[in-house]
Amino acid sequence: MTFRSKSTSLALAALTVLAARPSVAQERDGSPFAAGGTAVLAAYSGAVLGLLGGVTPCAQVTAPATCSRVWVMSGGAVAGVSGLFVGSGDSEAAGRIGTSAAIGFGIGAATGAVLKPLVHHFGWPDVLALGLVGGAIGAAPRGAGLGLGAGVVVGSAAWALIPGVAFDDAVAISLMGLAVGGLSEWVIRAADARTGPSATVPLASLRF
Amino acid sequence: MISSRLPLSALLACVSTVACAAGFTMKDDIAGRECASLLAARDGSIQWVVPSSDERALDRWCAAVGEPVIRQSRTRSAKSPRGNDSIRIVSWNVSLGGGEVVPLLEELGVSCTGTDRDQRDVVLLAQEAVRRSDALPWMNGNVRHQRRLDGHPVRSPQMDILDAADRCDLHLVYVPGSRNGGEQDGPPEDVGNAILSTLPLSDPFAVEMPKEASRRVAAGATIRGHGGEGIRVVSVHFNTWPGPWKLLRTGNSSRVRQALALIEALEVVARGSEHQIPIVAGGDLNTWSVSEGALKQLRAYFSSSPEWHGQPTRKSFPTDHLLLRLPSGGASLSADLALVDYGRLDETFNSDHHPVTAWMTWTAVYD
Repeated sequence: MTFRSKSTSLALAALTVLAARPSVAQERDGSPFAAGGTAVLAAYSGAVLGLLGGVTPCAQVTAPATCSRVWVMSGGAVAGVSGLFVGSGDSEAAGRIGTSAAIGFGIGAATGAVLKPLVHHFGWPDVLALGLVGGAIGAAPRGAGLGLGAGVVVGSAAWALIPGVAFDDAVAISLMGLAVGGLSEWVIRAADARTGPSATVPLASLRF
Repeated sequence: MISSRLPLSALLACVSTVACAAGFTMKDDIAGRECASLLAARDGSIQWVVPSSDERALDRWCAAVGEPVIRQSRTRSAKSPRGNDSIRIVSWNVSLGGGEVVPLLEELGVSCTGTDRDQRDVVLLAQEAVRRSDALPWMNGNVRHQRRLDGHPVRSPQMDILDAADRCDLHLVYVPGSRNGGEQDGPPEDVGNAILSTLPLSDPFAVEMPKEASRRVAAGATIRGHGGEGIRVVSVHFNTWPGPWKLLRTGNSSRVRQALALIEALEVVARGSEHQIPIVAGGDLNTWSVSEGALKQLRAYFSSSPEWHGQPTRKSFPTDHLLLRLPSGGASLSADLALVDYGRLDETFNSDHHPVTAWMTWTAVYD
């Protein structure tokens, strides 16, 4: 469906405004250890976000696993490189982002634990998987949250208003919003780490 | 150096987690499997085709269900189709017994009163069919079952698929996939796929899908006339969502994996046949759109399938499909079918799915 490419553009356009900047002063004395740790965290976060972003588009192809790997690689690479820059410029980044990811993991795993007795095919690996997803989102919570919110709004409106846009398109837009938002946060963090916080005024800012 | 290797390792670990979903092949060998429902195959009454992966997990679901049921009609005997004879093949999710099977069959021209003759031959490929029986196995703590679901809408009296076949005296193949509810949830019942037919069903087979969420088993059989001609039919129900772990591990390829399993299983079944015969697969594929990869895979195999009729069958989703594969290179000793009409019935007969029907005629008959 041609709409899918439009939806990607819409999601990207919506997320260009999500210039959520680091709101705390950073120590600009990164170390190789901090850079490596942040990059690992970022690669994992980006890979999972990429996977989520590709869920619906990859369901449309005959080799979804291969397609998903491309999304995982792309998301992981973008975030991983960004994480290197973030960690190189800020020795505390890994700890701060790691804490946020751990909180996300806890929320995800707790959600899974609640769902386990309610969903008949849920097992402990599914609880762990939700924890991993929560951790990935928790590592880039502002961008992912805003991206998901924007995606849900745009996707729902498109579903309701544009003939030919199906429910799966709305889901695709929402998940792409999540992925693009989360990855944008990593890229913006990296840019800020290299150049210092930008002078642009964020249109929205959330704290977790 | 350490800092640049670490993220690469993390990325490769993530990719390999997605890439390393268990592969499988389909085989008609149940050695090593333990559940009683499968062991019914040992007497040759039904051919099982099972995946080579997830055997223990599948056995835990399988241990809670009863054996497949294969019943012949008391009054409808085998007959050879003649040129221009028509047959209507219907795929319908009967919503855990909530769908009104008998009224649908009567609407299609099946005589369920015993006094009239059938107006035409009908084959119903049913999904979410329920069988109630006190003979279902007692469930200990190690077996798996789905949460008790009561169909849609709950107000409908739920019909046991065996009772429906009895009421209309139809030939029946029923293969359960999972138990519906635990021991404390009311009368024991399992849920699965079924074929109800005015024409005799022979060579029944069951295709256990690779485990993506709850256990799913396709039910198949051959409709055969005196001259050896026939059609292989199969009723199939794919999973809606895999669990999150499976989603991560397979890269959201659950329904494609099930589609490939079905195709491979049909090839395994065909190996035992002397002739190529047409295959009609019908089912609730749980597809969100008609451009889903699973449907593309199936349509490539079922290359004679009609175009989508353009109407959703469950809410706004095109979940239910009929697919057709005619033998290539002539039809030596096999029946030729021509598709006359394909579409969705407007009435849901109290299910949450519309039935989809294909009206076909035999264009060649071999005596």
